Amino acid sequence: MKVAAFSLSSCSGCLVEFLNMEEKILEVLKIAEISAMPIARSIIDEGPYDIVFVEGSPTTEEQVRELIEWRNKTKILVAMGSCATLGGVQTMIEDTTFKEAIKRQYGGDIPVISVPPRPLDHYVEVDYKLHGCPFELSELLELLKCIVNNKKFEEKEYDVCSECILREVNCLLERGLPCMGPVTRGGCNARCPAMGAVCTGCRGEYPHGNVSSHIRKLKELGYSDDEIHKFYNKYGRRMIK
Amino acid sequence: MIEIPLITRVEGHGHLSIKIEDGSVDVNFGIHEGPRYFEAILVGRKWYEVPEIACRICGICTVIHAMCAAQAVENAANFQDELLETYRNLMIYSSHIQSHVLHLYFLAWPDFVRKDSVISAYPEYGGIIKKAFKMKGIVNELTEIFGARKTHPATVVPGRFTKDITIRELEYYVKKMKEILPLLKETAELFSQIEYPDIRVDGVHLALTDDRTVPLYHGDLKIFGGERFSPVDYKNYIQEKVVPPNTTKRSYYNGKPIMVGALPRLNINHRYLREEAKEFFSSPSENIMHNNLAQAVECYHYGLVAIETAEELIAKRREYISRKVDFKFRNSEGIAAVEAPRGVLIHHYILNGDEVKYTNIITPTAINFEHIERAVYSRVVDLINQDEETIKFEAEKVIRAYDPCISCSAHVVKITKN
Repeated sequence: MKVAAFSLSSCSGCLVEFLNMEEKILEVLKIAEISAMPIARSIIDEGPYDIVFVEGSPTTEEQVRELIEWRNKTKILVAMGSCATLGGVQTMIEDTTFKEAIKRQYGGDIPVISVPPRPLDHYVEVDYKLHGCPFELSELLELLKCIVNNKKFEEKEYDVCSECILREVNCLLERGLPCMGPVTRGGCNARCPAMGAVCTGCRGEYPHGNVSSHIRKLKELGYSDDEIHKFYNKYGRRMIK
Repeated sequence: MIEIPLITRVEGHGHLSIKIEDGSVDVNFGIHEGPRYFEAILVGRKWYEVPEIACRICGICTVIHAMCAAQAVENAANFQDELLETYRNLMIYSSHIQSHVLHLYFLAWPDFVRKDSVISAYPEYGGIIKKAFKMKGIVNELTEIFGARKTHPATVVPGRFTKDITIRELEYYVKKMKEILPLLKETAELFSQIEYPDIRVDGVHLALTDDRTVPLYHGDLKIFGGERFSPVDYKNYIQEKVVPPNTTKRSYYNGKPIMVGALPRLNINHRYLREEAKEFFSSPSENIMHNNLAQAVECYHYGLVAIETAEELIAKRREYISRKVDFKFRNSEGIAAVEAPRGVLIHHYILNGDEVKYTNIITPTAINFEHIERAVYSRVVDLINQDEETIKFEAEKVIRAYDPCISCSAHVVKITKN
């Protein structure tokens, strides 16, 4: 099995996380060959591949072409991390409130991104998504097991709140903090709320989340429409306009 | 013309072209990272979101970006907390060692054993690589205890950690750090036995200094053998300019290229290195290839310092209790200079009310840019009669010595004034 891992506009954190498998990489190497991974290898095998992992979102024409090329060369394409699954933090550049702020501050034109950041599935078919910023290593290992055993890999169909409840974490929303847990896809085992930090929604929208009641709660807590808009639009534009 | 379209085993996307004509050499180190405009993204966000967003500039220096952002916001609020800073240092030590181990073993070391990667080196050097995995695994785990995540820590906000840190957690930190201390020492040994080519650049070394330690989180900025200044005056000493055809900002001190990183840190603060670590780095060096060695020596030094710091907290039973803080700003300015694993990092914000109004971020790789190019030039001139493969191999090796972080350096926002 030939595996490749590539990077588009991103912080490289997901590839770093990939290497954070530590010794488990040696296990992976028993079933797969890493044919291309420029962050770790000088030799780049031009493919075709069986699995291509992609972090980041394309923000140049050249990157869009690269992405399409990788898609054409691989059987399975995996979007790795929130830039690839949602567009990533760089999507904030498109926020209108931001544009006004820039104008006020610099009194000049807004920087232009020739290709606005979009998730990979805006351009190509994506077989699997590993959510999170960065993605969860446990989900990567689960995905690899599923691929090897020819089983279907399921995205988590529950919210971060459910995981907080299971871990008996004190609710941060109840403490007045702007937690996105009720509307965010679970699978991270509520790692941030469990340490007192609000969920900021890096795993994207939980499809059955009660958005209107969540927004009502945030308003009750005194957050303005502008603030709520920003909380909802951090890792990729999604839930509300 | 020698082209390296994608420099491998570095963070991010960079390319190098070398032109050799009638004995003259021209080197161009370029960046083709897609734009992400972090400085612009941060404008209009809340003060408490700044570390969370800023740390996403880079997946390798993520912890120090978060810490630097938090400190800059705190400076704007005139907030200081000595115990918080001590605890932050513990997390900085583990993430600093993590970054060095990743760079030394996975990115740089294959060059010195003539392999294309750790993977192909594994059959021959399995023992060394397993040790590297062990060190990285343990320091990552320690970062995660404090940060909730090893990459992009969630608990680092201005004014506090969002969680308590208990004596039990400190004891675990000490136990695990002690477990890898012999390996950190071996790392210093291993990289002190490598024979490095001698490459020098007519430039200056810059690092933090505090007359006590080899500081990573607080201090004045100092030019090796020269001036010392406060981080708030950075704009008077570090001149940034764009040299066409490249679009990346480069930094100069009195017209000279600046080097930042482990080597400048140890040169400037040599006398404050732990004696056990000093053995492997006996005197200051101008050879940029010694940056690899300096990183390895730092692994051991900061391992020792981390244990000592945590043990002192345990002895005094000083737990960290998280308390909610709230800041309000009135066009307040905050500047912080810290040491990322790859060198001086500066975050500068102006906040008003509870929002960010202005940002300027200077990253180590942006500072190093001109220095890197000149070092490659100097190496290529030495090798001018060698074959293309040798020149390519050696040029990439020079770039890797700086441990460049290209995502970091490509964040720069260019705004055209009306």
